[in-house]
Amino acid sequence: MNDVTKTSPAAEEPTTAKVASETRSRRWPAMSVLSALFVVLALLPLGISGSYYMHVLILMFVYIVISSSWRVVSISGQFNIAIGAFFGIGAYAAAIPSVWLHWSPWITIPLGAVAATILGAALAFPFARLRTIYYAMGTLFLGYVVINLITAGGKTTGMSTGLGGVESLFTSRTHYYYLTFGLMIISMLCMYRFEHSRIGVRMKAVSQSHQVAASVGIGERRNRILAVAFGSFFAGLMGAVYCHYQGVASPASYGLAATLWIIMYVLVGGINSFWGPAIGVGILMVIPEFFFRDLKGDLPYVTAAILLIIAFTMPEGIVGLLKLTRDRVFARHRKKKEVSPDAVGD
Amino acid sequence: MELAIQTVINVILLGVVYILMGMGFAFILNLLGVFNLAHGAIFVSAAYGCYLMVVKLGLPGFVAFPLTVLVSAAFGVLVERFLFRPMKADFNRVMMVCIALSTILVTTFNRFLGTRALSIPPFIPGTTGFGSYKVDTDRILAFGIGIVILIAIIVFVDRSRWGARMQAVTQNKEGAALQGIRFGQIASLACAVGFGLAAIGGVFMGSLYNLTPFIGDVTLIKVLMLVILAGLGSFNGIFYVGALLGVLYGALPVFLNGAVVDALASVMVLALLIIRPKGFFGHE
Repeated sequence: MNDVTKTSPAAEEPTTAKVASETRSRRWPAMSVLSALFVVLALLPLGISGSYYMHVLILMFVYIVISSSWRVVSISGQFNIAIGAFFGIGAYAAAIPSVWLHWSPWITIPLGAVAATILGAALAFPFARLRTIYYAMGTLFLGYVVINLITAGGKTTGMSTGLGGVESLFTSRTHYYYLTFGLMIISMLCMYRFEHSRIGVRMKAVSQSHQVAASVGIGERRNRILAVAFGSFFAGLMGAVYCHYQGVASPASYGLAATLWIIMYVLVGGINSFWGPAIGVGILMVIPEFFFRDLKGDLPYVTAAILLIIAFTMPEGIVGLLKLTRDRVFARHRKKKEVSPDAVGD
Repeated sequence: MELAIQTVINVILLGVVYILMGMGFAFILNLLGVFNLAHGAIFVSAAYGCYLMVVKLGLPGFVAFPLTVLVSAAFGVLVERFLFRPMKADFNRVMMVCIALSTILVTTFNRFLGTRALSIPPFIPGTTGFGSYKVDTDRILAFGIGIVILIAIIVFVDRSRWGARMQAVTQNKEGAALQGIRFGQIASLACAVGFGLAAIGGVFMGSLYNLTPFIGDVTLIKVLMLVILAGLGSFNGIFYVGALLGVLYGALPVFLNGAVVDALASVMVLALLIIRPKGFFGHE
């Protein structure tokens, strides 16, 4: 947040209380937008009956949680290109018992989340040795391996066509809407608390310099594995819910392309902000689906155009732009601090 | 016996294609610091471009092939200038640009050519061989061209002035700039070579195997596998590891079915990666 405003070196260390009051005073526009959105989304099923829009919104809730969970992993400095695999592990861990053992969805959904967490932690362990681009490439490859293993699983996993016939949780789409909406809010609250807790601060320390972090007793490996386990819990949870909703788990939804799009949501929204992933999903998923639906096969061009515009004009994503605007508006009321628009620009 | 000869030729051809692709990817990664996720899309586009030239325009293969490579190299220069350079090697933004680029390319081919499997017609139809052992002439030709290109690339990197400049930039960007080497020129050259090599790989794969818009992703993964295993910043490693991957993917399908091969080969590579995270020939 402070990288947008340039302070003079003398005023580098404001007191905690001052910072807190300042952030609080600058937070109200975001908070009011958020509560308005909450009310609108909670009442929306009463207004729209069109099941297609409902479907897009359910997808949106699922992807908001998954991309936020990716960002939680990334605050510990890990550019994890395997999140789709954890999403898929959650889905298959729920789908296989549901299809072959006829377990109730109320058991398989938590099972999916737990399986993704355990496997996430186990797989994060060897990768905790790798950093920066080595980590990115290694995890990219890990995602590929997981999808390959799922595909090679024979009849149990349904090979490359996917495992169909997963038992549905509800018959009505409205119920799914409220389920995913509720899960999204709970997950977002958990992730917000996680990021702003002592553990979250430790992870940011590890991300900035693992040597300095180690010198004050913050273990790098422990924190990084914890971040992956925490992130994959939510990815797995949503994978399980999503496969019960779709009735099918297919490897194509969890491969490299899926993972890269999840990362794109985060980057479009802004990787440095908690609300970035949610905004990114809103922009990249809702705009093409709601406004450019007639284009059908040409739809990817719209998405690509959005990506290019963001990459060229907003290096910090949409949130970067919003912060810049907010700081300009608030700069009128403040005299001491100078706002330098160059700090973010390219 | 025929199976054995076929397998050996497959192994060598796959190895050559992987080495070419891996070299191209490594050039772009080492010199520009760009993690080129669009490499697979360039590969597919070149294959489709060559297909269109041969089938729709009726050009002979010997004209279409060099033309595809040149157009791809020119496209590489444009991409470097207008997409990569403004991003200043910022990992996140480069990633966005690469994905936008590959989305545009793959969607375009999907829209106009459909997703059915195509194949570039052979440059020289028929088979050659002695006695009862026969091999497609096209494969022998591809093998010959591949070897010539590999040698040319080695000579270019090791012996030419431009190759020396590229190595200098890889080793130390600022130091190279102080010696009067222009980074912009070298970056354009690296992109041109990288995209050109991807195009060569694409035409080979397109004429020897089936061509669908989805082979790009699969090839990208194999290229990454190769670069990871060889170690970042190592050109020599790419040759050895490319040969290894050629053996894995050329010979294993003879004994096992496709999905199992992929799983087995990738688990093996993952195990190697966990034992040696920096790759076989990597250094920091």
